[in-house]
Amino acid sequence: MTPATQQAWNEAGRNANLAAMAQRRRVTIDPITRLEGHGKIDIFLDDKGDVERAYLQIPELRGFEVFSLGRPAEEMPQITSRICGVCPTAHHMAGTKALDDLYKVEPTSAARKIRELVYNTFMMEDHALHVYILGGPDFIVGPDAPKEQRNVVGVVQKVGVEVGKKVISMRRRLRELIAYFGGKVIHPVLGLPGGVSKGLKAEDLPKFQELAKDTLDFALFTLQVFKDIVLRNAHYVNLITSDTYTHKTSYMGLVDSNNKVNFYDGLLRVVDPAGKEYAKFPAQRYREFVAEHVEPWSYVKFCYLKPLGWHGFDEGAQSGVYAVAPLARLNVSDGMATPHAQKAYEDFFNTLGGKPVHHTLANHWARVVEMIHAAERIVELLHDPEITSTDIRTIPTAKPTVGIGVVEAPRGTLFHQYETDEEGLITKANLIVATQNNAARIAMSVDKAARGLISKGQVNDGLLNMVEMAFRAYDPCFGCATHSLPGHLPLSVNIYDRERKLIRNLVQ
Amino acid sequence: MLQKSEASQDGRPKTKVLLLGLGNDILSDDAIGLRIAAAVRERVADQNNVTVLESGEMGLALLDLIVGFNVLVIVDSVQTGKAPVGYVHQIEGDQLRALPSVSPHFLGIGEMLALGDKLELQVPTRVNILGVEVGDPFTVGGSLSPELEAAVPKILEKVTAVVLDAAA
Repeated sequence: MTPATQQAWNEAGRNANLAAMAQRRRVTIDPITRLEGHGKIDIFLDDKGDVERAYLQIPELRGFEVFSLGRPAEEMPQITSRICGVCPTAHHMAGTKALDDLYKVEPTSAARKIRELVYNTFMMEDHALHVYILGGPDFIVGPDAPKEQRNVVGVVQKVGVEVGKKVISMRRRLRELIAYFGGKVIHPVLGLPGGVSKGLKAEDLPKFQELAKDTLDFALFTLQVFKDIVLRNAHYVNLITSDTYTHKTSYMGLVDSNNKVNFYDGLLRVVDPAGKEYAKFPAQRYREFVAEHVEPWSYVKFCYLKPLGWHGFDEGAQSGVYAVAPLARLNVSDGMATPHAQKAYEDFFNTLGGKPVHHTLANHWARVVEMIHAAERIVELLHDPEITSTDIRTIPTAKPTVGIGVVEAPRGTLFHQYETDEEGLITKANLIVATQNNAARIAMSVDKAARGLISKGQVNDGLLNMVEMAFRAYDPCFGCATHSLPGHLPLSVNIYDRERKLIRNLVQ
Repeated sequence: MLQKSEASQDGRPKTKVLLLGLGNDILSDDAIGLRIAAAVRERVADQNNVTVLESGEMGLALLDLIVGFNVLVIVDSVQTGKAPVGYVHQIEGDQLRALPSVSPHFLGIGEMLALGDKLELQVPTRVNILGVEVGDPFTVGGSLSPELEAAVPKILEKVTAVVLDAAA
């Protein structure tokens, strides 16, 4: 960004902040705007009718910390998994790992494998949902398809009823595996400090091995679908690589000891926009690297790389802005730990011009690469002789103080931190969820997409979808609060003129 | 899933009704759907063609629950800001079949039903959604807001009546 542009940006930001604050003051007496908690994009135009700045607002869960105070730490994996119906298993696992750390206890080898098995199953299921159902309409049906077709039924129309049935049945079977270990998928009860509460019975192994095989077939099939429908279409590829959807930021994600992608455990690695390693650290040191910035127009705290500081919503090596999630994980790693996924990984970077890839929409492809990895890990773990071991718990003996746990949730890095008194009762709890890590880059993406689409007061009719596509690629979790009817995120886009008068409102 | 499908006295199979309470039990007013479903279960215990389920899940996950029923009654929280807390909005049938567009995360009920149809699953042909207007569904906590708590008896009456009507 040139200094002049930067100045204009900052100026626009200040104006918009004032307007947003004024708007919010008005909002408090306007009952309709109680929907404010949901997704909202405010677009402010300048006097020429071009975009001054666009803001994405997403709700933040309130009261979590207060609710946690005084509760036994052991309840946290259950409580945190209950606050969000979207990724309960990710919260459950991050919470469980925070308990390991709190009680300074290592899970047994078999327990670790069971956790990894359940976790990869969850990743597979969640990614499949996104590829086919949530993100699918953008690419499988197509970004320019009529609105009536850009939905799950349109996806089934395109891939066929049989494939649709396969997606549904695959997802159900994967969830049965999660439920085998954790009871209800939505409220899993599996992780304990130092282990898990349930092992795998030898007699149940064959049916899960069969599931594993089908899962891998399904993941490879999905890659083929993606190649056939998306990559063979030059228009889609151009869209993926277009400047509108590109940001040169840093990336963060977990890697194993060989710098390969790992969803469950490892060290956090950060690479700069040139792909060079900037930092590598254990979860326990995350506070040295991750800080949160507050803007008056948003409830969300924007994470940034603490050593670099907050310099606004900017790209480049000096900016503290970083991204997480599938694309980030591929960018921070040196490869995948399993063969089919490794091949898909190489294909990904060869096609998109080498590492790192900065195209936000490439997240969809990266998600498919990760599905293959998850499936291969499921196969490996279910053929590991130790998976049916009954040695699934190390009993903790240390006095608790502070525990930090991290996993790679489908949407990116998820941190849990608990502090307790000597009895193990919570005195402080903090979560940093994936979408917070991504919040700054998502805001930049929405802003950039809006700028690219609106000119001289003319609002392109495809605006809503094109702007939505910018953040849908991140699979953002507005979490927790948004499952009230109508059952999907009511996103509204408000466009304001120079005088901050609402000139257009689009509701999805 | 266990389903009750006994025949009625005249020999015709009875309509299978599912009451599905949705919500999050630790998210204040968001729990209303679960709370009401549990209470209705006691009141309709003698109706052998009614099944009551509570779920904290959403979107596609619900598809597995609703297959095999003729009538679906959903009770969930809703926040329009246009009605007093505790008011029960009623949305029926065709309004839902009209597909809402894709959302970043969640599959709307209408989409779920349309998908079920498309995949040739036996999804309910009649759907009745009861959305309870809530005050605060965003704060983590175990109890309902006082306004909503006060409205519980009336909501319960209304939902029970809808379920019994569907089952008759």
